[in-house]
Amino acid sequence: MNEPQNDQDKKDDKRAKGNRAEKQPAEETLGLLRDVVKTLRKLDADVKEIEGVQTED
Amino acid sequence: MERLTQNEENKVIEGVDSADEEIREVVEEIEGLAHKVLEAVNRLRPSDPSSKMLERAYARIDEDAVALKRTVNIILSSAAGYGAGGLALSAVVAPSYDLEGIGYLGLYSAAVIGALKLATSVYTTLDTWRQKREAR
Repeated sequence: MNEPQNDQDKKDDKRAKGNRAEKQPAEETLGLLRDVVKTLRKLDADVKEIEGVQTED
Repeated sequence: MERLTQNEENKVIEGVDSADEEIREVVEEIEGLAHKVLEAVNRLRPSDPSSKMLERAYARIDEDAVALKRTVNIILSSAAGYGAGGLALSAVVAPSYDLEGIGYLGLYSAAVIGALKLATSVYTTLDTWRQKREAR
């Protein structure tokens, strides 16, 4: 009778632990993806600058 | 044993949805910028910098290309740590949505991997441009 409830408890427990354990790596990855965006923005600006000068030459 | 209340469960789902939105935005931004940079680099001539200002821009590009490669490699190696085509990002969503979440997030994982492949193309294209400059 208690078996389905126990299964649910285990599922919820696993889920809660998983959320705690995995939140940090996910946030780190999102941070690294944002670093990729920042670097691409810098590259975009520098490449445009060079392109502008080469077009004038 | 810890159990989530309905309210906590809702908060988890809200958090996951918000993370999905953030992932989608970042992926779109990476794709847009990567395409722009790739197109522009392909138009560049491998000529020497004609001024000090350009010389500094060339140096920044070479440094940023290496930084880009390094960051992409860190993301991909951490994703590999989660195995089976998993991305680190999937680890936060999958436990929340159980099996359904894995398939759901798989779409975003593929989108993230696609964006990272584009970022890698930017690095390799810039590296080729640098090699052509140096070979002159």
